Amino acid sequence: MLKLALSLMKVSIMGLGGGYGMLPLIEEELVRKLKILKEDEFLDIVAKAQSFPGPIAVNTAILLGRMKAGILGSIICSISIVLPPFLSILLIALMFEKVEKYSIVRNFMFGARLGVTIIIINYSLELIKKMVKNRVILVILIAGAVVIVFFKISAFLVFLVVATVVFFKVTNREEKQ
Amino acid sequence: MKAIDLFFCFMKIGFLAFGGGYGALSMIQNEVVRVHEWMTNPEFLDLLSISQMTPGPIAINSATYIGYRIAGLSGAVLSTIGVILPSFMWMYFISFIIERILRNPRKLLRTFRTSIIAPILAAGINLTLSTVNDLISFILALLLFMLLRSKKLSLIQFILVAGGLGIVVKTF
Repeated sequence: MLKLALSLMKVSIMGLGGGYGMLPLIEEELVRKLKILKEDEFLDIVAKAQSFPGPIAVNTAILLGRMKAGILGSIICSISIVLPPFLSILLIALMFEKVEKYSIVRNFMFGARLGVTIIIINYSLELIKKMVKNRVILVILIAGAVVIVFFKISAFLVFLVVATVVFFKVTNREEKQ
Repeated sequence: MKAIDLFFCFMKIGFLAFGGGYGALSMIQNEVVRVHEWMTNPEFLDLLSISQMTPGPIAINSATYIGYRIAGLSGAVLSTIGVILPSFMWMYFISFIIERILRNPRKLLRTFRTSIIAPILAAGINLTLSTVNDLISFILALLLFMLLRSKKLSLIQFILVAGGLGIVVKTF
């Protein structure tokens, strides 16, 4: 259990760029090096962690912990995975407050903000290409996005309405396949 | 009492964060920028840039950073706990209920993962409207889009290049 917690912490420190980046590292550590997890057990856990809401790395940690030591295991594992980013972001937030007044930092952020915006736009386009196989759903999704952007309606609400409509479309289509 | 507001706000976000980091991000933008107005879009984008360059899931990074900015250390702690608590609920209880009740939970989950595209796209459009507001930013955005599509850089490298271009454009 201690080994598990420590290796999750190690993975969390190395895992740049979010949850998906961490999964191969977790596999390397737990399945190959420590051998406390079988390959198919790992795949089951990842499948479940990805299907439901929440950060994938945290969901994975909770499930790993539960497998080894129940709820206490889950708590320890999720702390191991959350603590490194928590501390590093806290440190950066402190530093950023001090340096953001410099013009070189502001100019860098001008470009970086555009970069992140482009990443999000590009990600939505890729998601659409990957997940949306029918025109009606595409229209519903775009309409939903437009409503969120231009009307003062909560994105949660729009998400639920869109989901209700999409559910019937997805269901019908997939059953035919 | 902002720290308490943050806690419940991030619990709501964690509970509905379908589709990984980008789904969470769209919900966070909605709550933090549009509903509560705790942050502006540019400030939110600073956070995302930082988040992209540091370890950890975007949802955790955002909770910690926003919590700290709004309500200091207690805000950071409560927001972070708030965003991971729903994961426990999902992994321990709700996932079993869904798997029990539904013959084919994949359809429901696929529905959510498809529908989350609407908020993500909305966040993308919203952020574009607030960052692309003159000719320089428009040209730079177009250039960055082509660079990203060429898939030559990792996301971290891409942000660094974008920032570097920002310095070049603004200085000269």
